[in-house]
Amino acid sequence: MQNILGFKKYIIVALLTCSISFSQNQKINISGYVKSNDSGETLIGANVVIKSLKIGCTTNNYGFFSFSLDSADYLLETSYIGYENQSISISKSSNDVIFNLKPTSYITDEVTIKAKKEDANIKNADIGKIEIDVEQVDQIPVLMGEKDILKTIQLLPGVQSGSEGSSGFYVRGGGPDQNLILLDEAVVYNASHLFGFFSVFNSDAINNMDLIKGTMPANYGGRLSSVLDINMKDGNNKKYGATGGIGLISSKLTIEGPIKKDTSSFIISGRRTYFDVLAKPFIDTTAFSGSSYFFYDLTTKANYQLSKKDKLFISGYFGRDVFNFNSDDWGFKMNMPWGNATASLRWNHLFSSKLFMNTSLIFSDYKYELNMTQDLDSLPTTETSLFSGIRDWNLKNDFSYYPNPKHKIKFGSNYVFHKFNPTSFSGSYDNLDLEQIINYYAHEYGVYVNDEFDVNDRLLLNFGLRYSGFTQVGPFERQVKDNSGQIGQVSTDTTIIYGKGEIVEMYGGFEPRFSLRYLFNESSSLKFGFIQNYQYLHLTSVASSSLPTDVWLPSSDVVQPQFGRQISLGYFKNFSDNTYETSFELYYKKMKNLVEYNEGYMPGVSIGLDNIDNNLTFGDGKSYGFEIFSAKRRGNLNGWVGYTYSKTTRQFDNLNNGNWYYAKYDRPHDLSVVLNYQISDRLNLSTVFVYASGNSLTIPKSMYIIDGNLITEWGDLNSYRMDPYHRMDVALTLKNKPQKKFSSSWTLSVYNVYNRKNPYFIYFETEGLLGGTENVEIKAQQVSLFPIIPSISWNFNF
Amino acid sequence: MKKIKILFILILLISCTKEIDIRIPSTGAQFVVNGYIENGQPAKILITRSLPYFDPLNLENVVSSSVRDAQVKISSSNGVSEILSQTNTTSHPPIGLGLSDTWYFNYYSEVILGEEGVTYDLEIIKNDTIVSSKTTIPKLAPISVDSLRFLYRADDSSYCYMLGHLNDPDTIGNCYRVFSKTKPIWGSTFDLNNDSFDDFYMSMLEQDGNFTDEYVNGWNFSFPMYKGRGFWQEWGLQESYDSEEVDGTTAATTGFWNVGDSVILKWSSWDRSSWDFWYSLAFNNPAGPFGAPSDANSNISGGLGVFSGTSSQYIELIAQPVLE
Repeated sequence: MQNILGFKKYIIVALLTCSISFSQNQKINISGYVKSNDSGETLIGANVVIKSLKIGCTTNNYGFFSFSLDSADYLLETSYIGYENQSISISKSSNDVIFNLKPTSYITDEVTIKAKKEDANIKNADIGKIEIDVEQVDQIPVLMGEKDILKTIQLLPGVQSGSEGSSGFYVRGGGPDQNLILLDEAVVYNASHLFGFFSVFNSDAINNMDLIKGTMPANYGGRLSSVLDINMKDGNNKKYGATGGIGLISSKLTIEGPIKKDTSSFIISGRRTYFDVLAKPFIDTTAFSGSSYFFYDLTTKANYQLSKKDKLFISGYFGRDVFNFNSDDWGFKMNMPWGNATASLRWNHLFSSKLFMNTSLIFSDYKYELNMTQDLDSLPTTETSLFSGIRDWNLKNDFSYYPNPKHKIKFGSNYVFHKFNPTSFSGSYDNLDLEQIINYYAHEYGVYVNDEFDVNDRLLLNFGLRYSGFTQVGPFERQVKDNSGQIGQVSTDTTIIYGKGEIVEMYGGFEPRFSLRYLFNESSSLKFGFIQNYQYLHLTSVASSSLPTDVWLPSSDVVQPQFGRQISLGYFKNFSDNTYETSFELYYKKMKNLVEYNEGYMPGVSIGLDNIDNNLTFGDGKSYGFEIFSAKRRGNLNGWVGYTYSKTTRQFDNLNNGNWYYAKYDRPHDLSVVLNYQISDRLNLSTVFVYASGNSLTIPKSMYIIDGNLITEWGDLNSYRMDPYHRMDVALTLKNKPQKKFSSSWTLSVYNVYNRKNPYFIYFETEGLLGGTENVEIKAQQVSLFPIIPSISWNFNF
Repeated sequence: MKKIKILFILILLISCTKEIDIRIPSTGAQFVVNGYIENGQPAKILITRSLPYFDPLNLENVVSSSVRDAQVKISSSNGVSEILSQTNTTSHPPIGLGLSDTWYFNYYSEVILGEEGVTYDLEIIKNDTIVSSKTTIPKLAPISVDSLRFLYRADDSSYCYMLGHLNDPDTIGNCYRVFSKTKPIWGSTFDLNNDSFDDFYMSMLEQDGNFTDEYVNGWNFSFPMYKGRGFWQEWGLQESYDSEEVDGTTAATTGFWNVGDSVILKWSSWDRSSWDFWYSLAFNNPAGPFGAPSDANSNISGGLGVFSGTSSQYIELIAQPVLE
């Protein structure tokens, strides 16, 4: 605690001294926006510089920039990849400098790791941050032709995929629940469709995304490992347009246009799979008639420029997966929908050239349901329903303050009201109804301040402090259990009842963030980062892969917040005028209070009412490693290579006899190669190669027999490693000759070109019967999921 | 669990499977206890050793893995204790093991008989190994015998299943296990005793016959019971496989009695900690990525397996549906 307080004092002193010392000369203030001339879309991360002063900045998530300068004449220049540079002369204060950049006329579908400012990787203080433009996602070959931003992320060093085809990702040894996934600031709790094979984000509606795997600035909080900040497109405010695609398993359509020209615009984008429709004629002839699976999602956004100083944004997302299973013979019907809904209302207000504010009201919801009915002639009808979910109301206030060119200060606050429904049950049988619903309610809050301080030409400091807190409140009932189990009688000893609004438990703590950049010269720099943070929400899973049934739980009177600390060090160097970019990063991360189910936890079994978090056990995690990244960002041949070496372990007193064990997604070696070759103006070839050490897994130790049942005694947790995973994909894109208003392209992609049978999971199968004439034998079976899969899709734009 | 199985089937449809070799380091065998003490009956304990995972297995291996000459002692909470006797080919011909309702035993009590409400401590000593456990025989929560009747299978009147009615006692935490033993009209396929009945009771099909009153405490309700599957039986063995008739998750006639079979229903109350073991077997070896492997919830310390205290009722019935 001593350290933290000392640290805080330092920040406050630093902030005060800075703002005092720079407020004396005659100043002019310049601020404005950078936009696309074509669509009116704001350009995020565009570079705005004054070359004569050697100063510059990049636009924020709303395309906004700001300078405070000594009074003089300046030439303000801006650049953004894929757009022509533009410059504007400025001699007095102005808060509505608008750059309308024209797209460059030649084809620039480069696959690039596009830190928009070409040497941003060298110059900014962000360590472990990668910005990705959605166009680069388009080029990468994908499973069944479904473009996927999350799968692109998995190709970056330090980011690992879960299992074959999964869009889940693991950052630097963190769990899947430790990634803060934001869609226009709304938290998305389950980012995957179809048991993880596709992400919920339709890339046509996405403008850009940032992945921060290292030191996240103080304006982000609530997750230990990473932030994936996704911004939707605003929509074209100049003219109407549509883009769409027809693929093997789904089709999608996006429509955008002005509501009022140059003032407001909208975008609406939808996607639906149709293999349920295609498979229906076949399924209907079987006893499973009516069984189906599909998903759809709808993304929409509108914005309105109220005045020069005010802009409103409304954005929403709604997606559902629906799985139906019917069996006529057993009169059994199952319906399983799940999905996210988010809505955000945001208001940008410019108080002055120096002070920019964004206020957001955000709603976020994730829901999972499993409804089953059984109706057999002679029996009473059984209906059961299992459901779980989480719902948030979130109010956020962020300020960006630009007192002078040396400081960029951000401060703000955040309040969330959470309602958790970890798992509930209702059912009826023969006119009997039963129901068990236990909700958890909680307030989560944070305040922060962050300053990026340009100390001199070489040294850039970024320090921040966040205080976060979490309060679980009633109504709530805690079942305090004994462990006697004798004669099956009593197990619920006590129930502690909390009234509405009554405080059940409170947690809170300081989260210092610090990073620095030291520039050796124009093309190389050293960066250091430190972060400490808390996480108050936990995702619990009984399965070894991510499922919609995974349950979000809050910190409570029995579950403490997760706590993490990470330090990282990086060396960045660019070559040949930033054509080649390389980096080497080291990290070390420690985590406490990680959550797993107790050994022997049996889902759905408890005596009487129970709180699901009574079945959890808590432990520590550790991860360290290094990441090498090398990219060629320009030219007909471009792409990148990323390699990660890491070790990720866990220790729980109640698991694996208290010994350290490998996390299930520990992957010592992880290599990705992405290459893109522009063969001609119309033809593009791209390829991806990935290699990763096999997942770790628990294998049996011995076998024994009880009442004729073969029972497995399991060995040490995750002590076996499956064969390595490797795969190559190729995609060829042919642009049709553009018509006047219409353009289209064909993409042929092949997933797993050399048909590698990668291990997906291993199971142990028993053959033969005890008491039969043949011996009983147990065999290990390795299942591989996707063989070579060619696919074709057609995309259009008008 | 049903949905998980369905997902698993879907995955297998698009995937490919190959057999692989996995080397498991040998760590030495452990003692395995498969013990019962039931109301009104002597204690019946089978002690064996665990076996290498991939070794071929048959009933002879099971017999030969039995642990002989251990000192097995049971002490009851009424202050009675007894060193159990060992079976041999004289006392239990032909194989030298006794038959319990559901499996074999190689140690048995001659003085102690199970009593409701009494707790039993089990201690096994063999050379340097000490294995111990504890169980309590609960009070039986009986099924109402008058309510038991058979119903025809919906699409085929040569088969039937059972309907019962339970008045669950008001105290929460009643654990049940339900079994049946059958004398099939077509003859038993596992009848070393030559009494035309199957040698062993099999647990009911649904949830392997394991139930608690977690959601239904104190309720009075009717429910169906389906015949189970013996360890010696293939799914749907009684009839040739006919895919038209099958629901795809279980095959053919598994779960049904032939109309006319003789049936003994064994309805048991079980103590919680040993019931947990039986229920946990469903999670022991999940075939797929949707579950994580978990060890059986044993109540044995120093070894594997389970020591179960139970109180049962046995009801003889003829599988003959009555049309109403």
